[in-house]
Amino acid sequence: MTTELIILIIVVLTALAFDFTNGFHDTANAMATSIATKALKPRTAVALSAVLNLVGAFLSVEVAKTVGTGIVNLDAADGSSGLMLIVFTGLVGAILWNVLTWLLGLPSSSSHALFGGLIGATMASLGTSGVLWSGVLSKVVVPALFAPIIAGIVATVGTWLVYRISQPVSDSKKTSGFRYGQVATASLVSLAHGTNDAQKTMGVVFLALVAANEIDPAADIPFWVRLTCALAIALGTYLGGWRIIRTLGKGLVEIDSPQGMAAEGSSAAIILTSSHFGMALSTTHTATGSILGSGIGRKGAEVRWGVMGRMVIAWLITLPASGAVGAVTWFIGHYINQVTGSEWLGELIVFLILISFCTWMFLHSRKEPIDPSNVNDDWHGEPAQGSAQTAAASSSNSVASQKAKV
Amino acid sequence: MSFADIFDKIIPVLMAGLVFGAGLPALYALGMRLLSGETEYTADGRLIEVSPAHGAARAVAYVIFAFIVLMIIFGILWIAKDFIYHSTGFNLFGLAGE
Repeated sequence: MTTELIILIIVVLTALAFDFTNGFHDTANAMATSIATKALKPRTAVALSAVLNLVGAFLSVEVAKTVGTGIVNLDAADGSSGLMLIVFTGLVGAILWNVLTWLLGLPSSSSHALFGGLIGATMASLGTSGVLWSGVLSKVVVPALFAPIIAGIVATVGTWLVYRISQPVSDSKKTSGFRYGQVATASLVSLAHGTNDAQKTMGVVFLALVAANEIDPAADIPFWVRLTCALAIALGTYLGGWRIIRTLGKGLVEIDSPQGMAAEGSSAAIILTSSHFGMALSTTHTATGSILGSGIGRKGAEVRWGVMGRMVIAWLITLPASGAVGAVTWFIGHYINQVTGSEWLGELIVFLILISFCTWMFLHSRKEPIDPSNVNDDWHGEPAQGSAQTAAASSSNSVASQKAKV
Repeated sequence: MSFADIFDKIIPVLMAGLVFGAGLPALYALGMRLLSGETEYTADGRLIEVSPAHGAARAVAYVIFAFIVLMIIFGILWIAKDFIYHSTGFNLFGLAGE
């Protein structure tokens, strides 16, 4: 096995790992509301979303064969090994940020994490001239500012109208009717997510193959790339980021099925139409804004602005934080290779750093696990904590509270 | 990217969002209202149905639901438009491959 091939394998595996975190980070965007209102059982919801992500991934054909076009300029990279290290450490930055925000139960945009990681690694390697700042502003910053506002307005109007119009409908019909609407709109969001997000990773893998001279730049995306990327995002979706699902479904707003349908309807409409108008809005920012709007639009609904504040802070630091990790790991990888004269030791060390941090965060998450059994427990305070500390007491409590609601 | 550019792009996104993202859920709610008969509050504050909806109202409700199902099918085709274009050459909505 040549050095190039070993590095290629590491980069492809890392790209698939990113795709996986992308999946479990974003399950909440589509399914948090349906799980919170019990329109779907938690396991059923994530399974449905996973299948639709899988189908959606195969529907993506216009795969960008370059990564971060208009945001970073990778043409100036120092040969294929230089390019590989930038893409690799960029992915590491994105994964670590995704796993950390999952641990904290905060929804944050996986595309922002990927762009941030790439920007950081590019700046470390090529200096600030490698980053196209106007592209960063118009493709990343501006959409991120407007997505939650637009989604919030649409969902507020939608929720207000839905409650007003359906006011005389009996309670039982309301619940069952809006549950159907919720599942349909959430399914659309899942399908669109698979189509949009899986192709990002396909682009990264393709770029790595080109850099390693394993494929002709003009060739089609190989089927195994398509298949593995589709499976990785579907598997991630199925495992479900329960911590984030809990924050979005229970933490931000107490959601009832009419609100759930208005929120997902708003998300679906905005995600499907925005790229057509030349402003592709992030699924995460849109979904969060919609859920927030569904709380504002319903009279008397409690909106936890503190939770929203934490999310906004997470969004603001996504780009710099994943960028910093991307840059630091690039320096580590680069200088280990330079000092030892090795062509792969740096990549290997960074890979081990990635694995050890992810393991550490996973073990940390087991202290207060959030899973289908407690994802809908009553909300007390902080994201990703809730009643997990008193697991024994809360499980009986939640049964009681569910009965009370029924 | 100037403020005018941003505004030019934001307004259509907001409009489409309001029409499809708030309008369709509201229409769905209207369908449910037409399907619902007379309701009354019980002593413990629940809203229950006391008589079923009229035939004409039900018919209109089903037309509304059919329209919404049609819109959802459009939504799926919209997501798949590039795929359909790529695999069959049929340019749905004339907007594939943008």
